[in-house]
Amino acid sequence: MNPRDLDPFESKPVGVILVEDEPTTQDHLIRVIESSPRLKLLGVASTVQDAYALLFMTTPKVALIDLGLPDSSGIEVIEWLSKNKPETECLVITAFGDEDHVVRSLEAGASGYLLKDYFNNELIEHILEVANGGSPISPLIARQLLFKIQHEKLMENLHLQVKADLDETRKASNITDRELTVIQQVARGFTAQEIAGQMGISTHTVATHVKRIYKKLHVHSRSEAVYEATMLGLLDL
Amino acid sequence: MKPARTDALFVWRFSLLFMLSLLTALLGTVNAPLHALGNESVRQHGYLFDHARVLFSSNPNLAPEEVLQRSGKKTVVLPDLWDVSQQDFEGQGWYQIKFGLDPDKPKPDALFMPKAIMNAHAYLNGHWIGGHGSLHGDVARHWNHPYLFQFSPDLLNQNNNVLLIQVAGYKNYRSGLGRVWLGPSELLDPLYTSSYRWQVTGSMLATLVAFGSGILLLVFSRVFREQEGFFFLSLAVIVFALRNTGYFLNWTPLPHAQWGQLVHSLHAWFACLYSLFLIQYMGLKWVWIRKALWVYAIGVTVLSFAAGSQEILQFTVWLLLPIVPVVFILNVMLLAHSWQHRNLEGAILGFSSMLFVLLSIRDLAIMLNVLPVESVLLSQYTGILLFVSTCWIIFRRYKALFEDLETSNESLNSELAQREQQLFRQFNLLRKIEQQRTQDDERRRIMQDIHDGVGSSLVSALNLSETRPLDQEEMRNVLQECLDDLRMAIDSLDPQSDDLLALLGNFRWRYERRLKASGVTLLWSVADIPKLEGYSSRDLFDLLRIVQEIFANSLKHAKASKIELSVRWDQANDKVLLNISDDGIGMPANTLGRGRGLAHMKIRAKAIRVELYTGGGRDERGVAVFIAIPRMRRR
Repeated sequence: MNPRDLDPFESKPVGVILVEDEPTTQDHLIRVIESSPRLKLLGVASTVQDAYALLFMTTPKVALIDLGLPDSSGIEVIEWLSKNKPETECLVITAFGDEDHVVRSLEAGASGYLLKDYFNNELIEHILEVANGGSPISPLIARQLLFKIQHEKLMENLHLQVKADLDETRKASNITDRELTVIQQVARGFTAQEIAGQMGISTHTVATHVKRIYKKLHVHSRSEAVYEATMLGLLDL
Repeated sequence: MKPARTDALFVWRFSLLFMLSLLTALLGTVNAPLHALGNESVRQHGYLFDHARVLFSSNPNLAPEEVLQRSGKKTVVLPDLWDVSQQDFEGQGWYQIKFGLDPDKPKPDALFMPKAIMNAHAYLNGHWIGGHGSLHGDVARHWNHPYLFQFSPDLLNQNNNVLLIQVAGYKNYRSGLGRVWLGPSELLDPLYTSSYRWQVTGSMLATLVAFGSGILLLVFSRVFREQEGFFFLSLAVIVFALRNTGYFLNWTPLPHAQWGQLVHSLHAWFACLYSLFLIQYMGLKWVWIRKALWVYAIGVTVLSFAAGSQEILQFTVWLLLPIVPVVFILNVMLLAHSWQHRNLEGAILGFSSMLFVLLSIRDLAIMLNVLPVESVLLSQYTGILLFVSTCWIIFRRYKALFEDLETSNESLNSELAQREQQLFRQFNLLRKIEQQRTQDDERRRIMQDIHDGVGSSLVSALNLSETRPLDQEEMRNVLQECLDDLRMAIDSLDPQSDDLLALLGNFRWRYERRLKASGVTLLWSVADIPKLEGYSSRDLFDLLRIVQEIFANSLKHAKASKIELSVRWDQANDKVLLNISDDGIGMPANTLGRGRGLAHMKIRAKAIRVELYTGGGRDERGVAVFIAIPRMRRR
């Protein structure tokens, strides 16, 4: 992402916490964060319990969270944060950025993910981008999200009466046409710059659209349980 | 229930049935109503005539006045049976009774005759006072009907009255006149009504019941075709019912003589069929006896019709007598059989049958004049009990059959359910095996991918490091390559990895950083394409590998500064066209090292049934690779 797209009024360093148990990655990330004047490391935790203790004392703008923690899954921390500190953006630290890890994290309320092998400047850029309301996304993940959206639309068409009951929830998670276009283009392999060019908007706006889709996916994943339950109830009738 | 208790219960029931049938037979014999004896008030206030002077005449046109004047009347005791008093006579019998009135008794106004065979009319002091139907030619059949004639008391005088009863009869047909009652109609009417009920209405009902049960038995006997000769019984019952119609019908479809022959034969047929049923029911072989019974029935029929109208009728008793002991003996055997087998069904059948035989013997006694001719005939009634009990037996068997059917149905159902469960288990097992196989396939594929990709990268780096130490740049490249390979393997596991565009997009997303680092510009030009069909994730992964090799070649060997990738849909040929071109120095004919190169790419392409061509890039510079992917994978 281009640093020019970032908010020019953002001058205060972004507060970051790190939840990671593997010492090498932890050291590497600490080094990278501390090397940037625009980021401020507020604390480091290596277990879920430590993370809660840390979050009790501080409210970071960005939380970098590893999923495989010794006492529990990082998903738990993401869920807790999205419920209790929604202003904190969660980024999942992952080696591969694979579908299984990423989609689960997004559904729990994460704003995006960091690949462990990013170059130092890439890491800093990603963190800042997320702090400023943007989110990177891979085409396969985008394809996955599109599939979910289409599936949901199909279900709505099939069961309009159920939709009426859940309208309030739906409004919150409804994807706009522009968001849909963005995600479709991402799934076809276009970069944020290319999409921005095609749509006549800034790359920052493209990133914002993507992030909104993430958030909606989170809302959706929460309402999904209710929805599916109703569907089952309906089938029982 | 315990066997001992069942046994005791059977003995109890058997004894009860025995007592009941014996009692009924005795009551029937001794205590059956005999209306000719009147009742207390009739005896007190009426006049019973048991003597008369009779004139027999074959002239059907004789007038009552002539009869009164004729001499040659002889005195007889009533009941008077022509078979006894006037053998072989056929015609009219005029019974003349003279009487005076008793001042202590009320004036009579009705005449009651329990029996006058075949038909009778009556005259009082020269006036006709009653009579139905013909007395000439085909005489109306009133042989089992009682008569009640009412008249005006004014016809009577105190001391000198003459009652003339004209009776028409056939020879050998038990014709004659029973005792005669004169008295007030309010006293005689109940007697007449009761007599009519016993002799006519009751017979009619009994015959109806016999017919009904006969038809029912016939229907059910088809169900139990193989069992115990219920068919014979049903025929016997129908024969019995047919024979019984004579008790109440006052006309016959045949002239009376032929009708007599028919009834006669029907008796024999009934005895034959019923005996056959009993033999069959007890499961006796008795081939000769069976044959003898058939011969008997056929013989009696032939004899009856051959011997000519009336002569045979006097042998009736003698022809029927021998069969009665046979039926009786069979009956006793049936009882013994049911006792032996503790078979209640057989006992019920045996006792009702026994009662039937006993009362038939009683009726035969009337025919033989052991009992008065006015006695009510009862054998038609006893049949009812026999037939109803047989119907009950049939019903029970039918019910048992149904229950059997239901039980076997149930067991069939449960067997079916078991089979279903078995099938379901087998299906689940198969599904598990299938799942396991899919998993194994997938595992094998990943192993293969790691072997070909990460494995071979590491091995070649290791080999290289043995010839000389690797510098930092080379080390980084090797590790990056390994990581890229691993990511590509993981991406190919993505559920959406059957989408070629997303897969290519992900490849770009992974590779972009390297292109940027090398200063290469990528032109991405993709359009919507239809979903590819029949390609496994392994196929698409191989396709991606080809793309990766083309990119690697452009980057490492061709020193390109611009790569262009385009995907479009060639609808005419039903193919997706993937073109990659660069502006570098071209591709070496055969790249050493990891075996990559054009030849290797072509082998891969051939394996997944896609076409691959190479050519020069734009402006005669660089390389262009054209890959044509059929929408439906070729086998």
